[in-house]
Amino acid sequence: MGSKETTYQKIYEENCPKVMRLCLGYTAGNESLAKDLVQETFIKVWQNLEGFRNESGFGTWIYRICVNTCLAELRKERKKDRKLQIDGLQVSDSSENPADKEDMLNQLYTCINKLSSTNKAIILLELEGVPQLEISEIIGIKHEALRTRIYRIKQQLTKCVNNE
Amino acid sequence: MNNFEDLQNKWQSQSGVSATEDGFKSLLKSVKAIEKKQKTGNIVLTLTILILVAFLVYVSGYENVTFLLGIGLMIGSLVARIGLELYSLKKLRNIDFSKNARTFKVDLTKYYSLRKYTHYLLTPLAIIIYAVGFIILLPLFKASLSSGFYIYILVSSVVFLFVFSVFIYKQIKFELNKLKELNTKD
Repeated sequence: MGSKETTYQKIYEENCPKVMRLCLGYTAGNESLAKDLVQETFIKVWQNLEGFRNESGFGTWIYRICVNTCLAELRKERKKDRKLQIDGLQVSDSSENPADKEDMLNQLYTCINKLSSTNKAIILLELEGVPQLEISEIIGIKHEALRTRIYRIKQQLTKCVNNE
Repeated sequence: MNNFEDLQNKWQSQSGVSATEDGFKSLLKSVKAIEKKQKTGNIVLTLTILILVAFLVYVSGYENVTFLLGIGLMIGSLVARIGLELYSLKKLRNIDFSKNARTFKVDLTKYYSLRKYTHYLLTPLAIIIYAVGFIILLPLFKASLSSGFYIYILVSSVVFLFVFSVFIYKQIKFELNKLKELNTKD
């Protein structure tokens, strides 16, 4: 394996889980669609690897590619996504049970899917624990504006998950 | 009651999202396949252009102005339309996915807005030029071909034009929907 391929494998191994979670969020938990988007993201990473200029962190760079891939590709699948939405799921407070956890995740996916595409990207990055300064760099919104926006989306999301 | 921190914990503890050796191998295979496909595409395109040029050189020996005009308009409009499509595809591929989401969205919107000129102006123009070229050729076909073959050419060209138009219509509808969604306020 050449040096580009070795670097690529390392990038894939380190970033695959977070890219997959982000794509799952975009596809409302549809694994097969999410896998396609993960593949599409890493294909773009390969194609742009030589153009990476270290102007931002590597993680930020990959998140940008992933968010943009989801933004561009999901528009094709919107109708399918809508069909996947499961409305009105009851969420139990005792979520240690795997089935309950699954319900909670499904409800979370459903609620995320109700957000606009940019808000979806913002909250998915926030759920991942990405620092807000990095999120503002990925999305292209000023930090102050982003903070207010995140506060609103968090409220909206928590309310939706709790069926309020 | 779930607060945001609960949701965040649940989100980050999702299982079944780890990188595997097989996953990487399959990814690398796809990457290589895309590169190979692009190379093959370029070879096919170069060969097509060479064949078309050879054909035009060959038919120019006929010195029949009507025939040359008709066939020239037909081939010319098709080549121009395909060339435009390839140029658009290249432009789409060149959109930088590593820019921030807001800039990327602006770039994508610009791309699809420009495509409207192709859909509303250049494509109808190409179809009209193609049809004019075909109509110019019809008297020559009628004079030199059997009536059965002439009718076959007439019917098949109408069918081709219909199928081609349906294909283009679907593409236009898809791209305009994309543009509409891109323009939806976030």
